[in-house]
Amino acid sequence: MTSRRTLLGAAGVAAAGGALALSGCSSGGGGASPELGAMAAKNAKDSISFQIWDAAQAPAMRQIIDAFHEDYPGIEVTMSIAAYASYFERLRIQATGDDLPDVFWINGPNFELYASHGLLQDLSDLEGFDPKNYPENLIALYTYDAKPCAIPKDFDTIGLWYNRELLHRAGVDAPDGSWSWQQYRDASEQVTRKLRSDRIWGNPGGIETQAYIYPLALQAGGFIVSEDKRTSGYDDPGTLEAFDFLRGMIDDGIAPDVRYTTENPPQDLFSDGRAALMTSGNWQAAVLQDSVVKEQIDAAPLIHGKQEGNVIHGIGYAMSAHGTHKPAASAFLSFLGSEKAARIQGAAGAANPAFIGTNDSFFDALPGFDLELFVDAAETALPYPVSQNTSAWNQLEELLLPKIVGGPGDVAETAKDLADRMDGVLADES
Amino acid sequence: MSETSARTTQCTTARTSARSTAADRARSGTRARRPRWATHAVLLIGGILMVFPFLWQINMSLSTQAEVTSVPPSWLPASPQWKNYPAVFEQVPFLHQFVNTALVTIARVIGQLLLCALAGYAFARMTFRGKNLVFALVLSILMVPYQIYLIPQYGVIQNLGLLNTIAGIAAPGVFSAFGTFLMRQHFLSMPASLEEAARLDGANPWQTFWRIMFPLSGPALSAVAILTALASWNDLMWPLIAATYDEKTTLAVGLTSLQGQFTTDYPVMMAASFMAMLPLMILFIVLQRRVVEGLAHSGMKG
Amino acid sequence: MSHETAAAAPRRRRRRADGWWPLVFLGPLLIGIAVFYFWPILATVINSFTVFGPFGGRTFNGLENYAQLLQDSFISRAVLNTLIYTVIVLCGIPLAVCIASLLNQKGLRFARFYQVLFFLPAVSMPVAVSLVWRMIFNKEFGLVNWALSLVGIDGPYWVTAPWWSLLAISIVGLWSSLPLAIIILGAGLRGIPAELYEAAQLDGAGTVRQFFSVTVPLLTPSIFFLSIITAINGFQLFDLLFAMMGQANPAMADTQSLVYLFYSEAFRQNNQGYASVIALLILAIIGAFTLLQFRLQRRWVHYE
Repeated sequence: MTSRRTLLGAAGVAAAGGALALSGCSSGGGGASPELGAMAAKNAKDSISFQIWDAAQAPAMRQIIDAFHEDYPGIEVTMSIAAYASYFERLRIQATGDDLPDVFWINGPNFELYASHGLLQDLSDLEGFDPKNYPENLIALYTYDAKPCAIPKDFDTIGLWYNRELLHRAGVDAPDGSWSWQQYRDASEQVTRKLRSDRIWGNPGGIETQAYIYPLALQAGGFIVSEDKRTSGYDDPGTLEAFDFLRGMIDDGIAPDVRYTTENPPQDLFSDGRAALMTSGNWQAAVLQDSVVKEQIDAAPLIHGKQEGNVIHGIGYAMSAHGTHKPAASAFLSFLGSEKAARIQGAAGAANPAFIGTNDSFFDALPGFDLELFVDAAETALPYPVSQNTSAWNQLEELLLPKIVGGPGDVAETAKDLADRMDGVLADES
Repeated sequence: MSETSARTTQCTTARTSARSTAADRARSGTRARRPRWATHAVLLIGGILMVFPFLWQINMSLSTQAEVTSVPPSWLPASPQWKNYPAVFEQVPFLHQFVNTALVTIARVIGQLLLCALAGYAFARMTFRGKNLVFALVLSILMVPYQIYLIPQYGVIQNLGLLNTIAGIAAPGVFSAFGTFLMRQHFLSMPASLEEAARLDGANPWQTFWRIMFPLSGPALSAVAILTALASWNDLMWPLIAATYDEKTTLAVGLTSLQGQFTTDYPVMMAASFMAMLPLMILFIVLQRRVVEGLAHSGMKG
Repeated sequence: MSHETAAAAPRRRRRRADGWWPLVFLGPLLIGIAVFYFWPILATVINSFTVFGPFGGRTFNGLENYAQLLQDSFISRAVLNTLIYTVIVLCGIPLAVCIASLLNQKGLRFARFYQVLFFLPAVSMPVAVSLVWRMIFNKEFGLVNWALSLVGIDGPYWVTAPWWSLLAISIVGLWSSLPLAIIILGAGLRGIPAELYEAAQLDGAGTVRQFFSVTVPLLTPSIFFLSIITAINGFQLFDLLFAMMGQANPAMADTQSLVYLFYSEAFRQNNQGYASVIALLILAIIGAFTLLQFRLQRRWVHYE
């Protein structure tokens, strides 16, 4: 279940103000001063911790650390990688123990929780950080109570990754960006029928929220959470249409069912050459550039439903407000937000940098993949759905989406159950 | 409740050492009627089933991803992928975690040997008011599931400033009621004449303990050491929360973070998990008799 | 702990009083036990009446956590799962009795070799072996389903389907607890007096008869002890489940154990107050079970 990257332009969320509205993101408890203070000098000696969740991006992050080390030879940065599945569990334990990393990745669904409890450093006075260098909606996403509390790292939208060779073997033309749902289903069916004996699927199924369910629900005219953040869209007829579409492919044996994809995650199937099509984000590039299928694959624009629907999100770099190494952390964070770091990230093929004007570094790094289409998709993409306490209903999704998409039980009935429970969580927010 | 349980343990441990040659003779008599090949067949097949997961693990660790996921299974890798082992060191700070695990284990073993021997000696050989009550209280924590302690222990370690340190991961496991109980049983079984002699020589209790009794406690100490080492090396839940940074945590936690990455590299995961288990397996094969005796003392962890 | 007066211990031949020495010997252990065990027990009881903020900080909420326990449908399922797991693992004891009696025959050749085979799982890291077993139980390329396919059975999703996942975890639990059982029973076997076998032989009892009329009854204290620790360990099911199921498993809601639920409430959902209640429930169940065992033991355990 991937709510790994989240929205862009969710100003509504950021401005909503948590139940524990504090003035600014870093004025909460703890002994440390909320002030950012001076940045470390170039000859400073210190060591700081840095935590991320994507192992595929670790090499790029190491390159950035090395480059930072050239400017600040005395500051050691120790990077820790937690699997995304347990990242926010770990971060919560660290926050409870007042032991947050000095600098760490954060995403949209979790940003407000941490900001509203004063755990994220207010970055208004961070030297070298100019919000104008990033897309407005990403800055808005990571602003709490009018103060920026994280620096946008990257942004992602969803496209259709495909494996040329597998499609060719099954006699299917590569997607040209105009595919409808039906064409996607037909292509998947043909590949599955032709290549199933080699254990190859047309599409790898799954219940990825950001990469699969959200965009399809939006394309069918549905929604996930209403604009006033009060109602769940899981029982909306449009959302149900998307579920029926996914369930139909599983029931007809075109796509693997949910129990299968729990053991064999869609991205594993695709990167092992066992699935021909996969809807996913540009972040996959980092993984796929090292996979056995890298010569056989490319990306195309997402499939199309009744209306356009795509989801946009980006990771943020945040700093602990209670850290005891703030001068060194400021220096590192400032570097992470710089154009230089953005270009390193892009050139390593890790992610599409958020820093305006550095997209080309990412495109040039992976000439084999058409990555511009993900930037084009941003024009019509909608923000990743969030509310004040997103992670609460994300857990409900984790629990019930497998049953909706994979059965057993009636799609509409289980979806209604999810919507009702989610409504309850949303009601607790206000 | 704990008293009775303790008696049961005592009874079991007493039996470990009781080796009746007559019993052996009698059993060899019964054995004579049993077809020998059948025994060997059962033990061999059963034994291979028991170690099969390890063999399969080694096989997978030397295979390619495609071989691991192939149907039907590929029995031996076409060419052994030794590179999966160095790859582990690139994906997780394995050496750091290995050293951490070793240091935590050493700290816990030394700490327990010393503290449990001291306390066990006091409970066995000294007289003081409230002894039985204190001993019963100490034993009572054996009955309490670990989860009860977990959250508050986290708070204690946090307040001591020991999160993400070797000391913090090791600290709670240094104090063991079970180790104390084992050492007490051991000292109870030692003859009083040894101490009498030392006392007549003018030794104080510390000298008596350290020079006479402690050096004579080899088997009991090795049992405590082995049980502690096993529990410490393999522990998951406590280091999972007490040490949340890759370079500061233990192997067990490191393994769980290999799982749940966006892409799963099965052969590397198998190589990592095999290397994580290897030290204890070697220890077991080398010190087989001691380990079996240690384990016979109890199934209770730590 | 004041030192003992001479009058209080007239029976003892040895030193009449040890002065402050007991404090010196016991002090370090008792301080540690107080800090890391006694205080946490108290703190957990206190926590059970509170609700935690997202990042610490407690507020009193009376009996609400206890009320929640009664309504929580996950709890009853977790209790059931934990019981099923424990029962299946307990089924390993009869198997262990048989293997132990085979392994402990006098003059058995290759005994040391067999011991290595049978005891190796006892020293293996649960997390590490769980990852291996997860592969062995894979629906598509796992060995178990491959073996089943040889006899024409289409194997189930062992790791991701309700009930099957519990069964798979229990099988692994049984496998990993077998060595310890064999070791403890082996110790018990060596303690059975030889005369009893001789007497049984004189009565004309065959091997099988001796096994059931001498070995098993005299092994009952060991079996009793073993069943208690196996059950206690069974109720603590966590590592195997955590590593075999992984995160975001659709079968998790139907497979989780009490301890997993505790972990999930405490560290994933951040309901530490409620988690404390679950911890107390685990204590109550283990306590009740052990008490019951001791009650029942009179009926079947033979002490010489």
